[in-house]
Amino acid sequence: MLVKHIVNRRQFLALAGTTTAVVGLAACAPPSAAPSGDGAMSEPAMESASLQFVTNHGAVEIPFFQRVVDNFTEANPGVEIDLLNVATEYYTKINTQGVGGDLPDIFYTRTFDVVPYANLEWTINLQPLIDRDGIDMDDFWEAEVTQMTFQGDLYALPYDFSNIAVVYNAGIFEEVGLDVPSGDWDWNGLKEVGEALKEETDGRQTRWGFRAHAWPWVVLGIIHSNGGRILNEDQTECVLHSDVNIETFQFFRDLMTDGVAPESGSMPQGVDPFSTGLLGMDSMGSWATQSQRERVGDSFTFDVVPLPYGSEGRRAVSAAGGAWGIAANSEYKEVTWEFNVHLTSTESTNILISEPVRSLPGRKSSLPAWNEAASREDLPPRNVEVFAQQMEDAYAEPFPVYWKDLQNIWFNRVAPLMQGGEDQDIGESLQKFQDEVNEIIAIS
Amino acid sequence: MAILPATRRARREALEGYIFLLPWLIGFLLFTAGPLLASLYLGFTTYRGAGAPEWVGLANFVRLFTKDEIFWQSMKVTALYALGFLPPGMVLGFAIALLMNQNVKGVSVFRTIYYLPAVMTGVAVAVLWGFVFHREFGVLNSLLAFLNIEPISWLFDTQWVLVAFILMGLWGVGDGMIIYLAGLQGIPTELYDAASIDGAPRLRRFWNITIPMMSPTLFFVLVTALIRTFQIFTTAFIMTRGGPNYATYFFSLNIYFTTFQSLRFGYASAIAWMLFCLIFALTLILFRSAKWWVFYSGEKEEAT
Amino acid sequence: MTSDLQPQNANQVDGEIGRPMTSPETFATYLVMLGGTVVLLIPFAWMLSTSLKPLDEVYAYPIIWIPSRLVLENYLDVFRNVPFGRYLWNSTVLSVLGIIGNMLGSSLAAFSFARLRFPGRTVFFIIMLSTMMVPVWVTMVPTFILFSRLGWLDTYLPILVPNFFAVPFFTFLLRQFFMAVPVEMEEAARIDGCSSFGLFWRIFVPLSVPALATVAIFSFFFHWNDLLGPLIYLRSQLKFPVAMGIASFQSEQYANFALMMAAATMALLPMLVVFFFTQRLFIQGVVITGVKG
Repeated sequence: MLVKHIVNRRQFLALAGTTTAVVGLAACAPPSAAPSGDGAMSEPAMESASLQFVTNHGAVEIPFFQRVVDNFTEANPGVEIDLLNVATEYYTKINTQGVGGDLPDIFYTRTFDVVPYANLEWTINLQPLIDRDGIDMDDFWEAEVTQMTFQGDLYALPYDFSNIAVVYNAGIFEEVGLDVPSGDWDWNGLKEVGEALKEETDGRQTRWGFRAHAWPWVVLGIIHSNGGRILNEDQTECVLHSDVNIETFQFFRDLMTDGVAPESGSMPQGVDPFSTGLLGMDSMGSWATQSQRERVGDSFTFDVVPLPYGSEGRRAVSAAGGAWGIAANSEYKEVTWEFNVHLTSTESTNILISEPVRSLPGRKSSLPAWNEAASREDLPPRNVEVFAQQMEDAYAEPFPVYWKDLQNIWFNRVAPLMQGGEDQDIGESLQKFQDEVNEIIAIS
Repeated sequence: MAILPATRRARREALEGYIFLLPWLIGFLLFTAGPLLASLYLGFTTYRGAGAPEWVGLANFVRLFTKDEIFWQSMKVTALYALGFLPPGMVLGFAIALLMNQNVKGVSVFRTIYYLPAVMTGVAVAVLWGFVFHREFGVLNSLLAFLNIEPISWLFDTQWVLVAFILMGLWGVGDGMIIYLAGLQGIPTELYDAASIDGAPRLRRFWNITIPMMSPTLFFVLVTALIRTFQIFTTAFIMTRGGPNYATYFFSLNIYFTTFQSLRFGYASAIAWMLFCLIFALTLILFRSAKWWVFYSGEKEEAT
Repeated sequence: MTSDLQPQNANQVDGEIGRPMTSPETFATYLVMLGGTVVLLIPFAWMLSTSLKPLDEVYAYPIIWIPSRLVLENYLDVFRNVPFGRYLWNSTVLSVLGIIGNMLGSSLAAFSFARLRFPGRTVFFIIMLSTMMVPVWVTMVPTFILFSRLGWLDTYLPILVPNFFAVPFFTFLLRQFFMAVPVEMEEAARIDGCSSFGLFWRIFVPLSVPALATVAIFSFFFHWNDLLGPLIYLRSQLKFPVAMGIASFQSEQYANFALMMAAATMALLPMLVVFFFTQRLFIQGVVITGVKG
């Protein structure tokens, strides 16, 4: 018989701090920032507040964030905002602070995190505030709003939204005398094109046709467009092991055995096979426009086309994005909310995403500025609006609470099928993945 | 077992012992004991990062032993890695130190270079391994091609990936060098002088003088290497993230992912404490073996 | 009756055998050393070369070892993007204080474990070693909560203070060295009326310069490269150390290896310089040449 003994949170925190008590320091320690009630918004107005704002971006993007912060603090003197960027090991920090009840007032969360954090009550429910202030949710991407929703309520305001398209090296197409793809194609069409692009020198392959990403959120869309699923409709069961899915993975294996896609993952770290001419076509994220330009330089011209249709004759484009959540332990929820609204306004989105051509803006009203900035100076990819167009086929389902577990199992069981190395049996791998995910669901 | 010392002098020495030990004792009570106890406690709960930890008794451990195949996989690959890495690693590490102790011109430059692996940025090292182990572009496969060996996907093949990890581990053994070098300076020269006069051959002098005199240092390196090897993390985290098919899902990775991705703090603690038991048992065996081969010049009647 | 301590000349001894080497041996030694050097220098060469490249040559295959033009601008860009000078200073402060703390606390405790007899010594020693065996990931959250309750977040205290209280790795290391000091030396000093502290300070510390230098070097490299502590406990960008500065050029969606390697090269140089110039401390330390009585 299992005797359940429940220790409350305060007792647990006390235990963790046991030794402090031993030397009698507990008395002078400040009270830990305990989550305050049910998000009651009753603090003094904007007069004086000091906010912690934490992002997860590259150092080169920080000046843009600082501009947005400055715009807000200029309009609201008395509000101080401490901007902090943590580029690597972001989740180690955020999750530690989350358990400690010491999260920054406003922080970056991805679509994969919104639901788990809401579930743990680390972030607050924004729905009442959205309703109260009449925020126009139609300007955000529907698929992203779905992904930021937990039990019917929104828990984060969208920042950017990303998807993947196919990028091609126009120089290689010219070299082999092939028309550049139009984007009106299915996966077999892509494979055919890829066949024509590969090249051998002295008996060794030196160029490949195409490379697919093995990330689960990207493959999710491809699986759906072929009529398969990873999880059942209400996400209570993993159903990856099915004939259609086996076919999908067989297709990617054939790409490798036929020499269209390079084996063993991608390339060694530190090599970008696309910009260096080893690949005729590659998968490219909407966030990579600027970095692709920097890498390719003026070596060749490139452009993007939409993903192929699945076997059901339609696209199901995977999308995932970033957003801003407000910590349940924040002392200044009202001010933080005001700042969140400012941060996700069209004006700020233009500053953060559209003008520097970062990923696709989370707001549709910022798109014209993005398209304009992306095609300024007439740099490739000219067809950059493909990313926005693909959003119409965005596949919208929230990521489940256990997504990160699923992702971890995926990298071990399923991703190797798309990376080569050794020939695992496809059906067996999918079955193992399914069993292990179901185990996780059972204890979630 | 703690018996009060009999003599006045012994009592005084004991008191001084505790005083000298204070830095550790205070630090342990202040900063280490609490978190350790908390994590041990969590191992008996289903704590997920919010609300109250729920006490479930031995449920986590029962699950580990009876249902969790990945736990056993972590155990297997960690042990295999340690077995494959530690013996050659100890030999090579000591050999490098002896080499770096040679009295030749420019040796200080070489020492600096040999210490590089210990201070290199992870990314630069990962790039190096990418070029060594890659199936198509790798240096290793190009060399093997001369022997007519088919290309191997070192980092993507469950059969070979541990071998790749052992090679990567061996590349970094130079960091024990300065410990050995410091140890070598403590060997009184007249021991060698006397042996030289006796005409003892080099190898015998090495066995009879260098090894016994270095045994405290060797013992230290062995124990800490054991503890560190069983906690191997960074290389796997950067290079494979545990894959393919959990072939490099070492204990520490399992614990890290369970803690910071799954947010299963209770379960992760249970795994961590099993790892602790394993390392503890092995360390204890090493300490038991010490009386056969570790020689302390300063040893009094009581041994550790 | 005194113990005779002399600075030792490195030329006297080649460590293993006290005689000069013959030239074929020297030749062989160089050959082996050079062989290893090539393997060990490759990542360093890549790092240096990448830090000086234009971005469109950074990710190329085959690797472009010699950039078409030297982009020193990368180094300036590091400072334009992050307050790297500040980071270097912060790391210096952390390292210096960390070294002092490690040497002080660990050597005292090590002396106790090595040379003083008291009830519970073995048990304490086992407990100390045990603390190294629990993976950091499971104690991180409780430790964070502890420091949060002490009000130490966003200060260097959680990173530095524990270092003053005998770090197990260093304590164990020094214990081994202290245990190797001949017992005759201790007895001689005791008969001279040396207290335990005098013994520690006048005999063991000077005799263990190589070991203490080893602790200092290890401690320096640890604190200079430490990412985890600052990551968890700091929240002001201006308090970050260099390791965080280097890491800031690689995020999930965007990495700039050129800037990252420029930053890494600048962070590596102080370590190499320090190592190069301090190595004689543990190579040419003080050795016992004999006990006269």
